[in-house]
Amino acid sequence: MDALIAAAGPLKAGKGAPHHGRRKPLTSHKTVDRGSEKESIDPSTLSILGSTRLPHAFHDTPHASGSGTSSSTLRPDPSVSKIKDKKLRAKVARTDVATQRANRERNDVNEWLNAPLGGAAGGIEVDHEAGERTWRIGQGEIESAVGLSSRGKKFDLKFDGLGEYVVDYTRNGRHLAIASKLGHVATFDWQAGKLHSEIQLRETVRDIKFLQSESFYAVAQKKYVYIYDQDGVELHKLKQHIEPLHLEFLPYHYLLVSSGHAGYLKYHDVSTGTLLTQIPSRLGSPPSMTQNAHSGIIHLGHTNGTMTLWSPNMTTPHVKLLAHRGPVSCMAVDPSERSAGRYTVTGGMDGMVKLWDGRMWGKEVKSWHLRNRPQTLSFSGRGMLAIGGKGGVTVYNDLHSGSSADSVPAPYLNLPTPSLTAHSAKFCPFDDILAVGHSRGISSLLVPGSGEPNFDSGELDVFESRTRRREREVRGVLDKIRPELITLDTEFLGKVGDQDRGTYEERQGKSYRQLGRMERLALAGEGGEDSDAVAVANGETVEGVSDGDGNANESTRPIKKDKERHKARGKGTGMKKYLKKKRKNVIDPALIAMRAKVAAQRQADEQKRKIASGEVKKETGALARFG
Amino acid sequence: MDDLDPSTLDGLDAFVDRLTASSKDKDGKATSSEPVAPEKKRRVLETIPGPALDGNELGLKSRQKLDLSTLIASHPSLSSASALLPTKTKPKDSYKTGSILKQGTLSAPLPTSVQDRLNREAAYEATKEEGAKWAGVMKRIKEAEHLSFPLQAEERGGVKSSGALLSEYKPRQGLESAVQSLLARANLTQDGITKRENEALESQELSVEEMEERRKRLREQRELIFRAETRAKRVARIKSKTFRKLARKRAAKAAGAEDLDETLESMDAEDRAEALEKAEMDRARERATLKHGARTSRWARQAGGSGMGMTGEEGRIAKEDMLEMKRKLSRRIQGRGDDSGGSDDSDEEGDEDNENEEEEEEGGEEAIKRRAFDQLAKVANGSNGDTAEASGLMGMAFMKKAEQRQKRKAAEEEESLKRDIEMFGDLDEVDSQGSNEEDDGTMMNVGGTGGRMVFSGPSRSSQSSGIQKPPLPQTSAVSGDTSKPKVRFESSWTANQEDEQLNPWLAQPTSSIGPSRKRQHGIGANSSAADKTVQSLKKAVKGSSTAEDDSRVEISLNPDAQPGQQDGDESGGDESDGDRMGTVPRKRVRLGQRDLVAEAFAGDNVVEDFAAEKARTIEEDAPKVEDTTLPGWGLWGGKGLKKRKSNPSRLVTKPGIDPLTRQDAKRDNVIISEKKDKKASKYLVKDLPYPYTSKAQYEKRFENPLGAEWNSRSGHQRETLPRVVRKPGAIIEPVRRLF
Repeated sequence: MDALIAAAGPLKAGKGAPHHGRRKPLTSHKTVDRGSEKESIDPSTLSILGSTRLPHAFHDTPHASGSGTSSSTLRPDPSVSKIKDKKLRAKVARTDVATQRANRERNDVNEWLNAPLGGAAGGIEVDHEAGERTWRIGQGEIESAVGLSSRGKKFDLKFDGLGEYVVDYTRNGRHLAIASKLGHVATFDWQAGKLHSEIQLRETVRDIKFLQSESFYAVAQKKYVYIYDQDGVELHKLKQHIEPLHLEFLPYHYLLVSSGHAGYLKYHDVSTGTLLTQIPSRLGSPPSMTQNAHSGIIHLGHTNGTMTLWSPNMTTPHVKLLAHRGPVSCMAVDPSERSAGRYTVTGGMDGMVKLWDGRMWGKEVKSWHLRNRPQTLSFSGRGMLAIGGKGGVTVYNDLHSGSSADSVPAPYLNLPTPSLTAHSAKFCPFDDILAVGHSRGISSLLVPGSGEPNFDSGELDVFESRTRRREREVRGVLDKIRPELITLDTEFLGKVGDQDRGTYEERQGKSYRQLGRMERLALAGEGGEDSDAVAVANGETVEGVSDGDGNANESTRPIKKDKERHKARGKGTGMKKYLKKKRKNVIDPALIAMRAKVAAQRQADEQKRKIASGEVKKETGALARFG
Repeated sequence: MDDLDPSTLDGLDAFVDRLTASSKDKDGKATSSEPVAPEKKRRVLETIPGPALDGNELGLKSRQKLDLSTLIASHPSLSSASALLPTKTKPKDSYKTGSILKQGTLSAPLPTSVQDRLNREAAYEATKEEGAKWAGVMKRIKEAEHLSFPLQAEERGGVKSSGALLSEYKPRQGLESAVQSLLARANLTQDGITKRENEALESQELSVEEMEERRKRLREQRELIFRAETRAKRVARIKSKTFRKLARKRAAKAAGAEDLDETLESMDAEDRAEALEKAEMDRARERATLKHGARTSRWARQAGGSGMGMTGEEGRIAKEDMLEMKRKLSRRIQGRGDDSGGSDDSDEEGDEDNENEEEEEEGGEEAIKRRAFDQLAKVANGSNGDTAEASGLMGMAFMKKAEQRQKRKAAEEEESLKRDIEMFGDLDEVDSQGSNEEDDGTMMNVGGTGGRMVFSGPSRSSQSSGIQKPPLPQTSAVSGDTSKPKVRFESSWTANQEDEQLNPWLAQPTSSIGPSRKRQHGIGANSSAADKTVQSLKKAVKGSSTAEDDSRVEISLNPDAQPGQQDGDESGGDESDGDRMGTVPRKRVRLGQRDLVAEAFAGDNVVEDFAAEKARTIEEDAPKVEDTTLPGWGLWGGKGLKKRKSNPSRLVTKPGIDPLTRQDAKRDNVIISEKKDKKASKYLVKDLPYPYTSKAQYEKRFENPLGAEWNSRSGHQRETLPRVVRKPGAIIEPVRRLF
């Protein structure tokens, strides 16, 4: 064999080599005969079969429920078959099937493991037929119905004469920070009833925010933002933040965001202590600010009724929306799983509350009018909306229920705070609690079904211990996401960027070596198999003989339509052309008539041909007229 | 086994006996012959004489040609192999010609290059054939999604299963073949046994097919019986609608819901109150189902039209039912079941119901008016009586002055209000007269005989015949939509009309829920009591069905509307009530919440500003054509010169975003930035990575998250499994080819 290989040497393919008869196809060595009906097999291939496929544990097995079916039902998208390269085709097809399978399994898991045991999402259920309504149920009634542990979660903290209170929870919902307008600040573990710190600042306090954990919190005071630790010791004075109004903290980016009277939006990196950027909004003192927890985008509400969306990357807002006639007094972004940061609610001084969809800014999904103008908005982990204003808080459960944009959603609960205005309301994460700050302290109220019951303890642990917290903080800093990655489009990362194509001269001046892969593919007419895929998806077939140019990249080489070849006249091509042009699935009388005409013509031609060839004898004589 | 031939069995026994005997013999022989042939430790190769050039044994004989077969035959170990060689058939002519020398010249050998090429080709073919034997294996390995080394399992000397042994068994020795043949003769082979069993089955009376058939027939019959039973049950359950209705009625009667009218008389006070309450609840329920205005309610419209899946006839019946119910209930609630008994006959006809309503309203109007006057008097008293000495700020001179001014104003207003109320009465009288006299003129049938009646307002002639009204400072206009009569009150504060016209507040669509009526009363800065009176009057006159919501009150944008024209408009299809209200002269109309807010934001041109900003942004982003011509170069200067067209090669088009393809193209209230996020774009992939030929293919790779949090356990493991895994400690050998 070695000698043979040595002797084989270089050989020009094709040219000189004469073919001895028909060339045999390169077949595998199938030596084991298995009878007439079964294909014979190659024992060598057979011996490696087991070790060249996925382990048996990963093979699809139908579930007992019958939901999981064998992978034979999963087929790659038909457009994949358009890819010419075999290897790439296999790769793309495999990816496609894997995605489909993963989706199916995800659905199964959600259905069988993550669904609540009772079948419902939790919350109060009433007999609607009998005239019972959830919003008629008061806190006393709820309190008497729930268990002892939940009953203890409803409490009031009374502080008279200290001004309106602002509240904030840590991300795991375990700790609560409160701050009064007149400078009373306190943080505590509200579940254990353990006070961490309580300080009297003796100056105006406008907002309070926990940083990455309960061990630090930022307070927006009269002139600057200050950072205190768990024991209430002042750690930092952030002098760059002048006259702050609102605070937000982006936990994955370690950014403290403040907006002040002057209308500046300031991003401060709390892990390095440097001011990242300050952006002038040029719209005056913002009445409201909130963040989209899904994307890290900051929403600002302005006095002229606009809402603007900001990231630290750009000095202009990503979106500017004229939401209200009058100042936008409060905003909230739905963090629930279903919304995934898409839905935003704004409340204006005009008494309107509007629900917006982030995929279609400018057209409100729903808007309704409130008797008392909204002062504060908050979304719960399950997507319940609390609207606080004069006289209390109203909680809405299913905002998307009504079909039309004008239908007013029915409230889920009414939580009155008699003769008090709800100044700040926050849902407690992972618990059915709503904390309301007003001018006489704070009230922690029960809202059954509002909290997300399933928490990922690797991410946010409600029962976090000290060591766990330290571990999480270190990991958090290591995994800190760069602020540049805050974008409006959350699917942004990993995409192929648009290339700067430059001017015509620049493009012409480039040699082939300087071209990018996309440009080369476009030149070769191989790029952009998507265009074919699109054509397949539309149910159209690519007409004419494909010359390889059909799938050129759209941006650089628009698809050239094959020109109709004009045949000689008098062949009835006009009609055929007409029929070809008409879409086959559109049937109208004109088309039917034309088809009939063509069929008749064809039959006549056939008859003529037959007569000419002698298959059919033409009737002659007097009887011919009868056919 | 019974029908086995006994002779063959005997034969088998004899054979077994012989076997034992021979084995004994063999053993004995073996023991004796062992020492005779001891095994050699060293093998001595036999010497084979090789071919020698000079030797005579294998030297070339003069006439004999050496060929492969003789070569092979010369070696003793290969002597048998020579038979396998193809017999050479020599071409006869060449044989005949004999020696080459006799032929003459030798043909020239092929050129070396050609010879080499031929050799290479032959070698290539052979190599390829050999390589093709690996094709299947290599293809499999290349395409494998996952490889776990070692690829081939090692040969294991395990115990084979009995089945495997049996299937592979073939007699090799004489003894084995003998047993095999005997078994075959006794018909004890596998085939024979199955054949016998088949025969046994066939000999039975019932064949398998027949049994099958019988069972099938039985099952079919059972199934049919079962179906018939279930159908009968279902049919028995089905009852007609009428049956159900009757049943319901019977049940209701059984529950003791007799006609309330009779029972009310016989009840004592407590029961009566209870029954009345129940009736009221019924009425509330009816209200809730929107079955209370015969003409104007939504339900009525739907019932009348094709909505709600009702035909015309059904709708009519439903309406009649509703009206009847309403009449009964209202009478009961008022506790005067017999009061309007006189007009019962006319009440039976649904069409005249409205007249009755009006009558009732008129009946109540006197009381309302009285109340209004009382209230006014009270206000007046209050203002007069409140003359106690004020102290502090209120005691100061300018405050007092202001107070007095206010009082004066209130008094004036009161006067006008009284005048209004007087006029109401007059107008009413006029109207009632008009309706008596000119019934034909104001009432007309719509849609042929027996259709609904439409009451137009009093005609202009009848109006002018009444008391001359003072000239109206305000006008009212009715919107073009005649199906929904809306009354607009013009604000007396005409100073702000231009502002209001420009104000975006007014352009906003009215929402279904306005601020509460309660609040609106409180809004009037001065003389809330007077306002209340007006409000209550209005309410009484118009009735609850036509009560105007604040949200429906619109301020006319057209201050120059002509009264005459407006009247003509109104006579189209408005009710006389509405007409009357619209033309009532009033000095001050209460302001709604909306109007107040509109005024508060009158100076803010928020929408205009936003539109301007959007236009600016669009223009900034749009593609631009710039003229890069240097002014003055290559041109003549001076007076009277025409401006020449600029050279197209000097026009540079800057790329931008077309206004029509912007993300916010079709929405006025949003600006979506089209700027490139430069800081973020550094994290994008610069160019398409290698194997992919389109962006979509590449981006699809990231569509599916791989993390454990977003996948099922098995899904995560499958996706993160490495392509090649190696068993620890295993030696990876090249793939062996098996034959």
